[in-house]
Amino acid sequence: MTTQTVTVRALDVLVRIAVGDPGLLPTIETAWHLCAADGDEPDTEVVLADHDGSADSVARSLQLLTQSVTLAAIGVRAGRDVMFHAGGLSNPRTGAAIAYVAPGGTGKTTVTTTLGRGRGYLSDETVAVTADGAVVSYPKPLSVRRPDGVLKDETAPGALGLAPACAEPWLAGIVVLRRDLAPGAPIDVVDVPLLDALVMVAPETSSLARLTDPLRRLADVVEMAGGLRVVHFAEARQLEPLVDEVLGSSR
Amino acid sequence: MTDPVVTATEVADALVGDDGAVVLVVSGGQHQVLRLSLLGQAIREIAATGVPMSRLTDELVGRFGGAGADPAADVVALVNQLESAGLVRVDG
Repeated sequence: MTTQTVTVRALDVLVRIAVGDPGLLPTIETAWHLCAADGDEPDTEVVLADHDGSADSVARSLQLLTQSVTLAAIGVRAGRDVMFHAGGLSNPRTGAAIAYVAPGGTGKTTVTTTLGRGRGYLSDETVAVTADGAVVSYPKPLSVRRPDGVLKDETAPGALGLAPACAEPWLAGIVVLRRDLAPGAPIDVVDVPLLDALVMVAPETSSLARLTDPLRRLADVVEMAGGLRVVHFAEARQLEPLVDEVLGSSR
Repeated sequence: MTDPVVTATEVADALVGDDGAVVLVVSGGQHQVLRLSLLGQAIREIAATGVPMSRLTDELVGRFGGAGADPAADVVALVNQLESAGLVRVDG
């Protein structure tokens, strides 16, 4: 079987994907449509895992592919940017962006799909922030967990009504998500002092120790964003006023 | 009676603030940021190159006062906590 390739731009890193099953190329290109890149020399390469042809096996390969691309891109950017395990949305006019930090499986994708329409989609997984506060977007396929809770479907952002950021995104706010309230309870937003904020977000960063002056860099990002807030909520829709507030910020 | 020597261990990075500090510890490729109180930060600062426990206690009482009935025991307890977190070494 001839291996074909498709190149995507992830966190501004060109990642070439080697695809052993050419029948999956259209699926991959569709899912990654907001990350489409031309065939320039890639920064790094990954390989689509084999599958047995069943729908679940294909879904698993595509899920692993997303993880591989993310890890490869993070590997290239390590030591340059502060990278959060976070989703992100931006104001399509001004670029003001919010990063919502959370461990896997605790609401990033749900918040993104619920609140993303009409806003710039930055990522549902990884948000990188440069030294001057610019957000490097990564509008990857959304990893939507199936009702069985095991597999995720890699879903094209466009199929969910999401569009890329138009204006250059910059970090206007950063929050930690805690989906720990009972349905119907009001949202609770708590300011976190700087040093405690660093302890809180550090586990949700990638390659932090590779940075020069890592704690100062992390503190700078938190301070640039106006400080860290923890958001306790029950339903993603409750976050809309907060997202509107942050995306309404001006530089 | 022995007077153990307390020495601050190396950390990957530290950031000091008005209400203590945070330190970055890297182990086995994983990183962890730990919070230090003002007292904890002072202990690491005083013990940067190693200090006997008795002198450490005197220094801390000089800086912060001896609020408890037994400052020496309080300092030992704090040092033990820092040692458990791998942020100081106690020899002797």
